[in-house]
Amino acid sequence: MFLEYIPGQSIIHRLDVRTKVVAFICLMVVLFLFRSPAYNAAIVLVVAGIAAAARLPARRLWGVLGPLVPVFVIIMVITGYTYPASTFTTEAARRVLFYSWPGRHLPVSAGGILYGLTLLLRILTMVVASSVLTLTTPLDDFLQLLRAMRVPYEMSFIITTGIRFVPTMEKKAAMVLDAQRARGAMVETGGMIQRIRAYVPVMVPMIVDSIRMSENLACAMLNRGYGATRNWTTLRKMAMRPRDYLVLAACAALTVAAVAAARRGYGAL
Amino acid sequence: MAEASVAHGRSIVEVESLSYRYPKGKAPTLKGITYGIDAPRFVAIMGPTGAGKTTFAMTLNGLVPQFFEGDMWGRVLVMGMDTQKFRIQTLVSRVGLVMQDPETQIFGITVREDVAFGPGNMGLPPAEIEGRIAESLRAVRLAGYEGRFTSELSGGEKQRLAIAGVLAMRPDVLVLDEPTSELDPLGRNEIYAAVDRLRRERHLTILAVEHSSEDIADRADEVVVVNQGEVVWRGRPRDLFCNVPLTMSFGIRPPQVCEFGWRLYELGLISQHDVPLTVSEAADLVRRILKGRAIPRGVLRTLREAAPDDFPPVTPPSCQATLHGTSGSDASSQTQGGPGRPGTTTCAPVAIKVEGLEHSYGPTTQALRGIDLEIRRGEFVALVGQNGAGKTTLVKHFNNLLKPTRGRVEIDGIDTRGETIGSLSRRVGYVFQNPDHQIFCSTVEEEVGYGLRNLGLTPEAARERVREVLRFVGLEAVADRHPFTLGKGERQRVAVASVLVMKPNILVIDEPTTGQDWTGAEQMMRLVRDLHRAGHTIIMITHDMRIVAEYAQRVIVMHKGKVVADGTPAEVFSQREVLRSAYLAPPQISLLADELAEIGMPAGVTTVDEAVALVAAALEKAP
Repeated sequence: MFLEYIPGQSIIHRLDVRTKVVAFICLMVVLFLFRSPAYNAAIVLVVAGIAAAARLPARRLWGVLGPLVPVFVIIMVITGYTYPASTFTTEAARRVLFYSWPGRHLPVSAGGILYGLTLLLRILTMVVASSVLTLTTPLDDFLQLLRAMRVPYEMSFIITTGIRFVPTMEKKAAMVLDAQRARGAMVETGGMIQRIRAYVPVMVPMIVDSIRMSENLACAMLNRGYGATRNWTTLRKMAMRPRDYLVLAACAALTVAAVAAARRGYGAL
Repeated sequence: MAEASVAHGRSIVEVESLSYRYPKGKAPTLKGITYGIDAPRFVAIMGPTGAGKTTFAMTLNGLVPQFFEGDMWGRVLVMGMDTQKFRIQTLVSRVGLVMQDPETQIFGITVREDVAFGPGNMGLPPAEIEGRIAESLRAVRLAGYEGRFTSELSGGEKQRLAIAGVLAMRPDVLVLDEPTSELDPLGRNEIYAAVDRLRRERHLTILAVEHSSEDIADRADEVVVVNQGEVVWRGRPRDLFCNVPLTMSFGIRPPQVCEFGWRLYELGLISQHDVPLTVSEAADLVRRILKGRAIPRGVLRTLREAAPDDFPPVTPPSCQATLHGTSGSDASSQTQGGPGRPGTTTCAPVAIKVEGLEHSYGPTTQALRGIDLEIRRGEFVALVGQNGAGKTTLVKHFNNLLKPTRGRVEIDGIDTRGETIGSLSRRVGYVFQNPDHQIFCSTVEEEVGYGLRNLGLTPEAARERVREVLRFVGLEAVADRHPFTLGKGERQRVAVASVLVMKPNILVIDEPTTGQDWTGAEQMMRLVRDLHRAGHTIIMITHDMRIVAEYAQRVIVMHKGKVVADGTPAEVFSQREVLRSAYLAPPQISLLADELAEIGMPAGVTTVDEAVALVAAALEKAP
């Protein structure tokens, strides 16, 4: 599941949440500086290296990326057609590769394909980088961050409770679906409208159950003293260590260098 | 802290003429309750569903009336604090309430975070919270679970975590609302082991709403019976349960050994004073009245042959030819035979055939590890085993909700691989445990008729079929009512009817009595028996071994994805080693038979009637 923390002891795990978020923002800035796929490929390699350092299971990442493959292909094709050669600044990118319709119609430019590749690499970077961020950082750390940003407790409580109940609701939905299918409900056949109608027997019990659950939840919150004081305690305390400052300095230096390089025309297309 | 406040002799709980009416409630739910506790003890609150037990529990920490509003009369003081004058959040540090459904009481993503929620809300310093996490988890025997994800805990573990979360606020009074009703026997044992430990190690006052008299008989210091909003009885468990008619008049099922003792008393064999409360007391009693006499051999077999209607028939009545061959599954014959398979020896056509069935939910979790099974038409099979043993996974293969990873399943000789869930719904009806997971229509009639929509019946034919089914389950009078205005028992009947309407021969019924009081459970089981008599093949999942002994013809025990025992209740319950390893608790009468084995009580005795008849037969014999 998205946002599921994988416990670990890697250097990435041990960085402060603030360091990781800043580094993530730096990465996003750098990512959009260069249009050349070669530069973006280099960034992908760096991020992949970080993911490896965090010892993230490759299968887990593939689980996120796999379903995106068709999207990647479509992006490549569409950019190949939609970006006319004139939008590119370099000679190589302006070259028209071929025409898909006789009479020099529907040209596909080299730049279009290359830019498609860049977009693809950017998505890849974002997916991997955000996975590294969320899979190596416990939810509690993000809540600490919110708290440091003066977001009210209620807000972070809603976020945790919401995430906590995702598996519960998934289980309930599966039970309801089974119960309805067992008495002859046709849920997976028919057209769009029929399918939506078929979900009524699933949605109604789910909503009724959620209402009942929310009342129980409210009671349970009171039973645990929710709202007893404004100064609630959290066990985790954020702490910046020398390595955090080191990483932050490196991020700043690299970002500045990248901006300077881009201004001089490196990585253009 | 608790000790100090008790030492002052102040009362712990003081309830003065408490009445309460819910907003929009017609009649008061609680009527003039006066009750007090002045020394730490374990109090069981009992009574039928709807008696007001939960409402009473919620008055103790102020949820009623502060959260639920409504009208309250009288006073409730806990540790000297008036529950109407202090905020709930303040009261919770003196009185902890654990409600029924643990799922909605867990807030943390990890166990540690969850236990920290309460103390964190109180604003305690982190070091103090750490200490309380360790202490509370130890108290409920969850030490070492700190980093576990709460979503991956078992039902029993979740319930214990819910208790730990409340204990972390160090209350003097702990109120548990039906802490074990949804759990398997292993889960129940875990909870009661935790409760025993809490009582030993802390001076906690515990009030528990509980349906099972057997679990609290020798634990509770006091039983309070609530009926229709009033306290109708309070006293020692012995004074209640050993008076069987009194217990039953409150809608409470007495422990099996008490029923046994009471029957002996009615026969004039013992005095009322001698009615036992526990299995060991019952064993001592029998030894004493038999004065060295042994139970004559063969009585059990004669009994079962003489009264086939009173005891579960071993084979379906349709199968006269082989009756003789299988009726020998008496206690005396099964010792040589090993686990018998009554289903495979009858001549009724095979309804369900399972061959080498395996099922995996992922690369690492194998839920079924090779099941071979044959269930014949007209059988009444109880499928038992602890949660996670694979019972539900197995039965979900009968109607294609799950497909075999390996092996095959045949229903009425048809391989399920070529079928859909829809087509199988006319052969296999699956009644789920919680009726609220399927009810979505605004009338009972519509709800029951839902499955027929895809069957292509004419509206008249469909209507007639719905009427017929409603008549059978006894819901004709409420056909036009909204299902959610019905009681739990009736809603469960709606669920049964909505499956019956497809006219399946095979009925899979998942935990029909879980979470119900005795009356509700009895009514449900009477319906199941009627369905069986009407010719349905019944496969019932249950944790209640007493129900198994009284209703089922055949018991299949599952453990870790395998069938570990299969036979009549008498045969299976006498295989104590198997039951122990599968974490099943046999009925008290079976435990009694164990203790009396040396004086000839056959291990196959499973019901009160049989045990009484055997003792009576031993007494008739000349000394």
